[in-house]
This record gives sequence, C-alpha cells and structure tokens, in this order.
Amino acid sequence: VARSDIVEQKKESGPMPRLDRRRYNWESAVLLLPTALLLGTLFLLPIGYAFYLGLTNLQLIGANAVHYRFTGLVNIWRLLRDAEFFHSLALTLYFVVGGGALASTVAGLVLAMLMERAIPSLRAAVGALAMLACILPPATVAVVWFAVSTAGGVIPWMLGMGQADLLYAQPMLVVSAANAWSLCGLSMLMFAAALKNIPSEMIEAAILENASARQRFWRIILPMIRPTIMTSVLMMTLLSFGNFTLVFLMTGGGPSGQTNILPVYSYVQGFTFHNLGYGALLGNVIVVLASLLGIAFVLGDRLGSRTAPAAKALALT
Amino acid sequence: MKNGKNMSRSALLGSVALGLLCALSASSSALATDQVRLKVAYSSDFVPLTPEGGKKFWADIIGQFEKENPGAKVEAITVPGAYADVENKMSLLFRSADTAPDVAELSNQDIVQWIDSGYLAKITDRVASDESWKGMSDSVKAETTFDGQVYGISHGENEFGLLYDKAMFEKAGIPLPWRPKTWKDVLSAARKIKVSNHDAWPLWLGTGTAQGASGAAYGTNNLLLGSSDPTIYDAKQDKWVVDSKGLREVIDIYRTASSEGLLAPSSQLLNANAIATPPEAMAKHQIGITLSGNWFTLQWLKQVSAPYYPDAYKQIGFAPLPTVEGGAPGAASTLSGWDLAIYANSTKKDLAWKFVQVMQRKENLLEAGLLNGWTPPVSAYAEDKAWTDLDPFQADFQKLLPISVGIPLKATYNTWAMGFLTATEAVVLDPKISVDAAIQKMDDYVANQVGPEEVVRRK
Repeated sequence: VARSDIVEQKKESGPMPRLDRRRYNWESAVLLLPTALLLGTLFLLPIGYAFYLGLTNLQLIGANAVHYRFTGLVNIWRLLRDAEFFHSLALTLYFVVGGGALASTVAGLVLAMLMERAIPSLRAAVGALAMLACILPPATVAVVWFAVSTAGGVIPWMLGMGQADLLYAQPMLVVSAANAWSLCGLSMLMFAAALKNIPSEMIEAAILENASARQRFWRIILPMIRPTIMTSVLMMTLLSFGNFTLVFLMTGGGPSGQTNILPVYSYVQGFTFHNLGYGALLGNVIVVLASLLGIAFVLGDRLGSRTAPAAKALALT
Repeated sequence: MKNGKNMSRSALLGSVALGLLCALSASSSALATDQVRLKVAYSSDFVPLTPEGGKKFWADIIGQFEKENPGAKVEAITVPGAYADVENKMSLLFRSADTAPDVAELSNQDIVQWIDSGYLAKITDRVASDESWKGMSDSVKAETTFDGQVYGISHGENEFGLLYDKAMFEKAGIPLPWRPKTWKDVLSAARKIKVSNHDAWPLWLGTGTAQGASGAAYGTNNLLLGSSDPTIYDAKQDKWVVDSKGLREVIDIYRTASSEGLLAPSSQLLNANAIATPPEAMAKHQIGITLSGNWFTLQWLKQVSAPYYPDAYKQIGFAPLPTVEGGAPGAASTLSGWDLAIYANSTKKDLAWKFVQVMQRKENLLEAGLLNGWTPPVSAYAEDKAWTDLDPFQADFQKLLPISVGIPLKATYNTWAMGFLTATEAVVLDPKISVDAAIQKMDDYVANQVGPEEVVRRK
C-alpha cells in the first residue's frame, strides 16, 4: 500500500511516530470490546468451563450426576491408559487428514482442473452439483451415502460386489469418502478461482519452451496455487473435525468401533456411558488437536513460502 | 426531522405494546397460580408403536386425571427420538429442578443410574397399598426395587420369543407347528430356509453397537439367558463376567449363522434403527425366523396399524426361544419394561402419585399395552380374555413372564452390554474372527472402561 499516504497523514497531526516500532492506539480497545465480549462469553468461557469439567467426575446420570467434584489428574491418567482413546485418535487422524484434508483437496483440485477444459454448460452443471453436495446438511449426506454404500446400493453394484455391504466391510473408508465427497465442492470452487488467476501468458510461454504437461503442473500451476492449497487443507481439516453428524448417523462409531473417531467417542463416553467429565476431556483433546493442526498448517505455509520466494513473487505479479 | 418523529412514534407504540404484553403475561401468570401444574415427561416416538397412538394414549390419561383433579393442570413434556435420545433428554431435564418432571417414564434398563443420581423418590410406602403393585410378579417388582426400597412402578413389560414364517417353513419341508428344542434346531431350520427361499433372510438375531446398550436386552441377552451360564454379573465377587461358557455359546451361534450366510445383511441387522425392521420385514415375508419382542405382533393389529397385517396369526407362527441344549426351563427371555417414577425433589409428590395411580388402572394399563406394545405388568390383567383375544400371540408371550429375567441393577451395566454387543457384532461382520478373539474383544472393551479389577473370567 502507498506508504507515503500514511506519512503525509501523520505530518498533519503532530510529530511523526516511529514506523519501525509497533504502535498501539488505545481507543481501538473500545471498538474491539463488543467482539471481545462476544468471543469471551460465547467461546472462551464455555471452552474454559469444558476444560474444568474434563477434570471432574461429573456424570450424566449416576452417583456423581449431582454431587460431582474436581478430581485433579484422575481423568488424564485414565486417558493415557485408555486403549480405545489411542485407537480413536488414530482413526481421527485418518479421517481428518486422509479423508478430510488430503482427499477432498486433491479431489477438488482434480475437479477444478478437469472443469477448466470442459465446455461451459457442462462446467456450470458439474459446478452446481458439486456445490449442492457441499451445502447438503450432514444428515442428508449420511442418508445418501448409507443408501449407496450398503447392499443393493450403487457403489457395490458399480464395483461388481452385488449384495455386499460395503459400508460394513470397509466402514472407515466409506465414511471418509462420504466426508471428502461432501467437502470437495468447496475446495473445487476455491481452486477454480485460483486457476483462473494464473496468467495465461505464463502457460503459453511454458508451452513455447516445450515444457510437458507434467512440468507445467509441477513447476508453474502448483507453486502458483500454493496459498489456495494451504487454505483448502486447513479448511477441510477443520470442517472434518466438526463432522460428528456424518459418522454418527452412518455407523454410530461402529461396527465394532471401526469408525469411533474422537467426536463420536466423546459422545459415547458422555451419553452412552454417562461419564460427562471424561467425555468433556475427550472433547478438550479435540479442541487442542484442532488448534495445533491449524497452527501447524499456518506455520508450515509461512515456512514454505519463505523458502519459495520465487513462487511468492510470481503470485504477487 | 421527519425520521426523528417517526422514530419517537414507533418508540411510543413499542413501549405501549410492551406494557400491554407485560400486563397480559402478569394476568396469565396470576391465572396459572390458581392451578397446580404437574410436569409429566414421556417418550413420544420410541415407546409408542405409532406416534399417533402415543398422543391418543397420553391425551386420554391426562384428560382423566385433570377431570378428577380440577385444580391440577398437566404440563406434558414429550421426549422425541430413539432409546438413547429419550434417555439423554430425560437426564438433561433432571439436571435442573426447574425443568425436572414430577413424573417420568423411564426404562428399567438404567433405572439404577437414575436411583444413584438421587433423582427418584422412594415410593415403597405408596406402592404397598397399590392394587396394581400387589398384582405384579416378583420379577417385575424386582426391576424397580433397589436395596429394599421401591423407586418406580412398572406400567408395561416386554418378553421375547421366536416368530417364524409358516409359508417358508412349508416350502422348506419343516413340519408345523415348529417347536425347536435346542439352538441347533433353530440353526438347522434356518439352513433349510436358506436352501428353499433364496431371497429371504433365514434368521434374525439382533445385535449391533449402533443402537446403544438397549440392543443387548432386545437381542443377545435373550440367548445368554438360554445358555449354559447366563451370569452377567457375578454378585459374589462383585465383578462383570467377560468370559464364560455361556458368552462363548452365544458368540458361537452368531458366528455360525454369519459364516453360513443365515443372517440378514449387516446394514439391516446392525444399523441404529434395526429393532424396527423385523415387524415390517415379517409382514413382507422377508424373514424366516426372528427373535421377537411381544410388541412385534401388536404392531400388526388394526388398532395400531404399523403396518396392519390382518393375516398375521394364520401366516406367522410362534415358538419360545429354546435353551442351548434344551435344558430346564426349556425357554429363555429377557424382561424389559418401562416404569413410572416420581422426582425426589418434587413439591407435588402426592399429586404425582395420584397421576401414577390413574395410569395404573386396569383399563389404562391395557390401553398402554396395546398402544405401546407391552404386556400389562399385572399378571391377572395380562391373562384377561379381553387382552389375549386382542392379539392371540400375546397369550404365548405372556407364558414366558415367569421365566423372563431382567438385567442386573448395577450402574456400569451399559458398558458390559456394549462389550457383549461389540463381541457378537464382530463375528457377524467377520466370521473368520474366532470365538476366542471375540471374547478377548469383549474382555478388552469392558476392562478398559470399568477397570481390569472389575471383571472376571469364568471358565
């Protein structure tokens, strides 16, 4: 942005503050107050309370439903010895990173690239369908995928498996696919916009230089849409973390715990076994994990873009 | 300043409206204080066979009660959803004295947790003089009796037996009436049906973790009660049984049935709403033999119509679920029911008890039985001709009442039940899993949740 503008403004209003130091304008605190209040009361306070509940023996019904107390690290010790927790953690990573972040981002990118070549009417139709999949409520996605992946459904039929219950044979794969399916429309939209922003001269120049399609993809397209990839991965990760409904409705965490991702396990502990305290602790693990993953992606992006200044410079032009 | 004028006018109008509203609500609350409000919470979807039937039943009861108690007004809290939803919503209601119902309809399967919470009032003295209580069998009374105190009163019971499709049996060359003596008889009939009726599901034995712990009482536990060792909880050692000859026999029958392709597809058998499938599938001649709750056949009546199946008694046969090798008592069934309980901190316990007493009248218990699919808890009412004429199957189911057994009144029962369902579900999904491996799954599951010192292996 034009730096001279700021300098000129400041000249009018007294002595120049040093631009190389961070400056605070205390009046802005007042303007931030409504947001701060909202975030504080509706976000931080409940999370803080959930962290407290995670360290109590609160039950939904049972001896400690009314008379519960702070139990210190008891729940945490239990968590560390809980085999199902670690199993659930592994499933969650598979679901969120595999089915969420990777599968839906890759699917979105592939769809967007295919659509670039498609005739406009087909592009509009496919785009609309992908968007429809993405705005469907998770409950509908669950019903649709339950129907197509169980005996007599379209998917087993296409795979030549006839009356097989694919959902029950490969539960984790099917729920992950359902999740990726419902998210890839959003990612496709993001990539379609990013691909449009790549200057066509560059691609033409590369073609003139005899660059193969593969080279063009790895050397030009991918570096240029890098920020979009990061955004997509982050969004898909966080959206998958919250996708309790889909898995719970399709399998309820089963069969035999094969899709017992953390949000479902937290629910089962809280509402099937009535251990609300321990269920809250599992919920807190999700909060911590999602925050860590978010931070990791942002840091990774910064680090990546620092090591690839050329790509950044290109993206800026 | 046109806008300013408009603003002040609308502000004036607004404040007048607000004032009116306040006055109105004040007068309506003044009206309300003349009447005593009694809060009653009950399941609106899961318990009634049809939502319409449920509405009719409760409207009848509330009408009778309000007519007899002119000063009282019932505030009905309807709880929608399946078993787990009912349980969860009820527990959330009870968390605050403001929302806690004075009278609640609760499943006997976790009554002990409600008692442990301190939510339920002792009604030992009240039931002592109650006609319906006096007429109940000991097993029904035991469902709501904890440490010598009574916390609830049954208003309906369920037993389980086998229903079979007569046409399929004839086609398979199995002589009628069918009376299996052992589990082997059941399996061999299912095998014959598989050969002669290709598209049918020969055998339906409920299991699956998706429907929550209630799946055990409606499925696997029936078989366990008929096995060589039906112990769920070892009372002497105060531990949950996670390995026994009985558990192994049950896992084995699921495994055998699954490996031979005798069961319904997993997506039908194991899904969260599986318990609703057999009554509909039987009426469509899709199932050969099914483990059946006594409400399955009540669902086919014209008065209930979910679905209406006029020829049921001609086309469907009944047989008790045999014991594993035909040993005494020759049949097995779980006993599960729904109880009425009064909130411990209710300020209107006398009125609440009056409401319960209205519900426990003979005609109301029979109506509850019909519309909710229950056996009336009072033995004499269940044997009444008016009841057995309604649905001829009920007489057969009711004969099972004396041998039917409820669950142990222990707070961690849900965990044991989920462990048992996990083990049986595992062999249904993959019969290559050995019985040993399935038992190990159950052991791991229960020990992991309740602690390794709380489980026992009986060989």
